[in-house]
Amino acid sequence: MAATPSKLVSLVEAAQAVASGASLTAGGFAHSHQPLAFTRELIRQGRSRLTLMSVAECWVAEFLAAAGMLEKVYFSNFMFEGYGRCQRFSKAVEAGAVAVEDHSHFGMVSRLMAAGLGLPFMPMKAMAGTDILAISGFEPPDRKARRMQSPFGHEVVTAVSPLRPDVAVIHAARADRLGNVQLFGTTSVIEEQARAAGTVIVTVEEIVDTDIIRRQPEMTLLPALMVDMVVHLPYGAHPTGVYGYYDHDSAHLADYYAASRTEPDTAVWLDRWAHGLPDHFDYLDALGMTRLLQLRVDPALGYLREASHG
Amino acid sequence: MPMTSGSKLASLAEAVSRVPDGACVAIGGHDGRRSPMALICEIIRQGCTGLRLVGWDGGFAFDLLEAAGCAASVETGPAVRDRIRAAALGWTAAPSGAGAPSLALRPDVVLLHGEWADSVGDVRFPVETWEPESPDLLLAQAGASVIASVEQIVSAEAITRRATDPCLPGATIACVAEAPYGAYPTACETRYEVAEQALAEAVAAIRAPETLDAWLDAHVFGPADHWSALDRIGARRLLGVTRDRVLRV
Amino acid sequence: MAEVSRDEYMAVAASREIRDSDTAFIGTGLPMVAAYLAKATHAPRVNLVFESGIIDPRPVDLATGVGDYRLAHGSTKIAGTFYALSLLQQGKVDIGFLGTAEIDAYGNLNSTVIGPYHRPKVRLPGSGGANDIASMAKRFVVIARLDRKRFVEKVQYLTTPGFLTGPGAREAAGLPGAGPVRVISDRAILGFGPDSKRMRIERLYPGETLAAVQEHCAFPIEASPSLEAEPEPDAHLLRLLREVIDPKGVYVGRGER
Repeated sequence: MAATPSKLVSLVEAAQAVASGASLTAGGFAHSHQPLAFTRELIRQGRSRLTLMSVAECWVAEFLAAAGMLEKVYFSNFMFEGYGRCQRFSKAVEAGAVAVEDHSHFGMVSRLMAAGLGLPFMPMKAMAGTDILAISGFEPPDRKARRMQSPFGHEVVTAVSPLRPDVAVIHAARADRLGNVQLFGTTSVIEEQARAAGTVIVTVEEIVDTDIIRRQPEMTLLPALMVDMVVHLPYGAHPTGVYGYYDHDSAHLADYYAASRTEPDTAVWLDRWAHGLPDHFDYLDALGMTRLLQLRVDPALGYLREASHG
Repeated sequence: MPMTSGSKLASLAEAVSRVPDGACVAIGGHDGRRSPMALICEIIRQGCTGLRLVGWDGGFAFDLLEAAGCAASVETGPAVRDRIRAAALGWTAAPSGAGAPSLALRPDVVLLHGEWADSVGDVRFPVETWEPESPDLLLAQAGASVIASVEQIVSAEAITRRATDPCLPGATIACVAEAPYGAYPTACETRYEVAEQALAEAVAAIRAPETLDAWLDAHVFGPADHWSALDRIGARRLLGVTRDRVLRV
Repeated sequence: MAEVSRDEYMAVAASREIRDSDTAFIGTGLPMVAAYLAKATHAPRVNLVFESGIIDPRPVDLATGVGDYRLAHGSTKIAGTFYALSLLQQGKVDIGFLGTAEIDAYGNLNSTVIGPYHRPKVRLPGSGGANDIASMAKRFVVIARLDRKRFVEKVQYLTTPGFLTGPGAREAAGLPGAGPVRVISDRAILGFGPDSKRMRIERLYPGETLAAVQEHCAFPIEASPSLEAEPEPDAHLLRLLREVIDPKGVYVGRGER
């Protein structure tokens, strides 16, 4: 059998796939599996005028907004569970620096799904009768959604147009070199995002042999044919968590949340944790192995047990 | 199985404070795998002396304790293995061929590094990587007091869900301390490989008194404890030897 | 035993909305507590669904949010957001719970902006799954503290449909769900007139008056013909809330001792 080329690339190389002005979608939900090492690398490299097509990747949106790299955002909800609203993102919208187009979660997912299935639109039932459809953000209203009658009866549905991000960035548990990707916990909107996007970049906690993937194919989220690049990035979701590996770092999240109340404090924070650290391993050492190891989850519970560290 | 209700959790420092000077100490691990290095570094940090070390085969753990001046003697190899086996079986002497039988050897303290333990001290070694010649369970059976370090303290659920793992019941151990990378630079099978470069550097350094002190300062006396030592070793080296970080139970 | 707090009244009232064997779509906070309380008491067969993709969990520790791994423990399926939301469109979800920054007399909600959409005074988190739940769950319940800034004549942005402009409006918009059935506040339990679809006062917590509730609501609100007093919760329910479900008082504030 002919050898299949490896898709393993460095973080620096993978981030170069996102050009200024590109549209981006990212995996993750709440404080779980957001591709934040990748986001920090983008901030280090510097980009401008990015468009996000987002469902729940609140931390990616917040950090890109904090770094002033966002221009437009199609989204449904950004909220830090247990903390409150995303402050730099919200301030940027209030200042008119970032333009937004609102959706319900299912509306966003349906638009990504339309693109992923190669369809000109997706019919759906939510959002009707509300300002989500009545008030246009930056997109002309008739380009976002239209009411239509079913071709098979009298039922009226909302047709939403496809959204095709240039790049999807996903953080997962493990992959092989060919790009077969596994994730053990909730999977946010990753399958729909990967189908919709032009290029799919996956960062993972562990690189494993294909044999390991083949032993548990039921855990595979994205087969290699869906994936363009793989980056080995242990703790690549920090300060969010990865199910089965490490819990979210609530102290670090709280630290950012406090800093994000003001623009100068946010800038200092970004200097310390993104610009000021040459690469991901320097970031990990700045945190310290002790802190990272104390975030490890319990193998049976899937989350961090409090007070287990002597 | 007898159930213990009390916690067996201890810090590495508390665990090592149970090792008296001059004790006969058996060191677990075998063939470059699962040497209880975090416990051994703590022994050096606390300045234990006169230890009579025994174990299956020699290696870096023994060489380091000798070089650091903690050991009065070191005995490994077939003869001492037979004497430990005898003690584990409750015999007073080890049978031998023609000569006089040698007395069973009951170590005062056994130091081991395992994969998981719960708070009551049930220590487990993953069956996936367990090798029958591994001496750890036998040493534990032979010794008067067992001190274990483990990669991770986990819930009782995590322990009970892996009923087929080789294990040490909590009732049989003195205490357990959490020490991730606690066998570094030797291997801990499911979690990390031998850190070849770090081990080679250490082996070379402890041979000569002038380089020994520098190595001990950097790796043992400099960091306040094992966790600080891990911070110093850093993410590149530790994650560089790390394999399967998740063994799904 | 400590005095019953307003949060405790709200949690108990919300839990009562869940029927046994319902499939309930649950968000972070009081709804989570209410759902666990219902499951532990009158609705043991309730099927809980969370927008993070977690189905029917058996958590042993209280989760800090629907994305928290504490919630995944013992679940029968861990999927993604599309999977969970698609259950709404399919018509599988009987009841959902929502919070809000603003609510009007027809139960329409705003969780998007305060001020104009393009240059808002305050940008709020956005719909998330709220619009989906309100549009497509068979019925939904709003949990909101009563004050004049929240209970408003007109929401500044209609994120999530209640009865929209009134009778017949949901049907005209093609929304499959029946709309809001209850608004659980910290002073009273509110409902909607069967014909008018306007909010009205159904139950008053002990010590509350009709006038006080009307005072805290910026739109005119009448009492239901069957207005009654909410009784103090059963000691058994309070014990479950205080000792089992939320022992640290993360979501349910305690009363004074």
